[in-house]
Amino acid sequence: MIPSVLPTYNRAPIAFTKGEGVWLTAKDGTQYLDLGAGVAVNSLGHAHPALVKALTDQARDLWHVSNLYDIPNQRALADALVEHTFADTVFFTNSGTETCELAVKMARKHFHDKGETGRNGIITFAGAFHGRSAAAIAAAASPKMTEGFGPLLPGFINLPWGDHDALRAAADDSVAAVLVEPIQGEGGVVPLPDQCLRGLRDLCDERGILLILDEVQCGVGRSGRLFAHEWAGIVPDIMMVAKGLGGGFPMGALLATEAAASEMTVGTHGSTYGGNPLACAVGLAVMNIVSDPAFLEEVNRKAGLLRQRLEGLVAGYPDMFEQVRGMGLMLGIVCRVTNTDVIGACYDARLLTIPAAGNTVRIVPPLTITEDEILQATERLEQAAGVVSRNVAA
Amino acid sequence: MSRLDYGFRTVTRADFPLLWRWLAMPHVMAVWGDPDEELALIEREVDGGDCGMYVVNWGVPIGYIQDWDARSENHFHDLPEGSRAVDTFLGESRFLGQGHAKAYVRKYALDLIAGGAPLVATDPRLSNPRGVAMYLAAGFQKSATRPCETGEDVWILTYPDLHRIHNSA
Repeated sequence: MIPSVLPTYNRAPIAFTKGEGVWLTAKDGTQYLDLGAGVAVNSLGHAHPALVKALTDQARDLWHVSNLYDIPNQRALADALVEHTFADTVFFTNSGTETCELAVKMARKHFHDKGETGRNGIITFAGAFHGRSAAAIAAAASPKMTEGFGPLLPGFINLPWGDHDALRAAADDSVAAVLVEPIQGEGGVVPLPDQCLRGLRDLCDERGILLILDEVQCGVGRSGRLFAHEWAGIVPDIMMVAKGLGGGFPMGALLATEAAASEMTVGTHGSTYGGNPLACAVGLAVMNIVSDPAFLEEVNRKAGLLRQRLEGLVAGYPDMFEQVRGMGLMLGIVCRVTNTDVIGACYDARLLTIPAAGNTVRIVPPLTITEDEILQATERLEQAAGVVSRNVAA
Repeated sequence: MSRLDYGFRTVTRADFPLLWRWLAMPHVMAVWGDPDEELALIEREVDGGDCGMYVVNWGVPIGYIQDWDARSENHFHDLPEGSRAVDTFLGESRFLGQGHAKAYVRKYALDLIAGGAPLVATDPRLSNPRGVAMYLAAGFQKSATRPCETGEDVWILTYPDLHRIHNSA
């Protein structure tokens, strides 16, 4: 008999009842150190006081009004995002997946309204993850996500990661946009090198193609910059943001330049809940904290320590681990043993990590994790590694 | 930029704020120690002395490297005359894990050998497997483990292989 909750997830048998900072408490009172942060969502940890206050203050006043009306919090958050990024305009959604839908629509509409009706292709890359909607799975083109869900939305050209020749050959005048994650998350925590991101920008400029960056997972401070593309010194035309922006409250945002967005006129897109007062109150509180250069400097400081400790773990267990990759507080340990065995041993060590493709253990803690908590986390990882190592040897 | 584009710029007092910021990074402190004390040691040598001290550039400053007379330290006593010891840290955390340290350390060691050093050595603690792995990836070879001046056990790593030097002597 099918469970009352549709069984699309392979869930660990742990139920949490409370969260504070990087700590989650299970029903039986056991405390877990959370290096998963709800898959890079709890950017400021669990129950951050500023976010709790923003949410509860707003909840007392007003939960929901339609986008048929002006929503002051929404405008304030859009202003903050415009102030701190390349963007001229923002559309709010409830998730990263929804931003993918709009990004694809915006790119196609941009060229359609310019009379280039044949320019509707979207180049994407192997290993990508842009969500679970019809457009997003067509974009990622992974059989795991698409099998049985055809016919898929046409127009996506999925290229091998790092194949420059294939990219140059595909980027013809039928292509509206290149869609890429500066750091692939689900794909195994794989950063796109700065020079490749700059090369993509140059190619898009040369061929008149829009560059869409998916910063749903790597954005909002996770890389050590407010947005990961800043490290490469380029700007996109369109950017997808979600996860960390709401700090645990569901929200997403599609950021765009005026040039890319100018065809999105009244009636071309909408959302019942996107940009609602509750979400935007929380999002604004997150932005106020995360956009502070001192906060980002701290992320970089702590990221160096975490990276160093993980590199030490890999060096200490060369038969178990291959490498650490990623950047900032978005790191992955590529395993030689089965990654889920490591993740299981981490549960026993009261540590939460999450799997990613490429046999990777993904580590995306709250950006507020302290140095002491990093030391505790890596000690628990070492403990888990020891258990797996002994099991493999037995 | 290619992997070969590392530059080594002599440290001046103007670099002290940058060096202090790097030394205060937790990933550096975990291996190097108190930033004030470490900077004081650098300051003692900056106006002249045996120690060569450089900011590592890769388009932008990314780290620090130094070299000194290896035989001035007991645990390096059996190295050939003129051998240089090296130590380094990659200060900018965003460049960690990309293979920069092993690449610029190899280049630096080759520069020292081209400058007349018969051998380049380093002494990461046994408790620092990441550091050991980085030097091995740079081409250093394990020679021995010994206690250093603080009593902690360190790996004596040499570039090129110390045994090859001794055997060919």
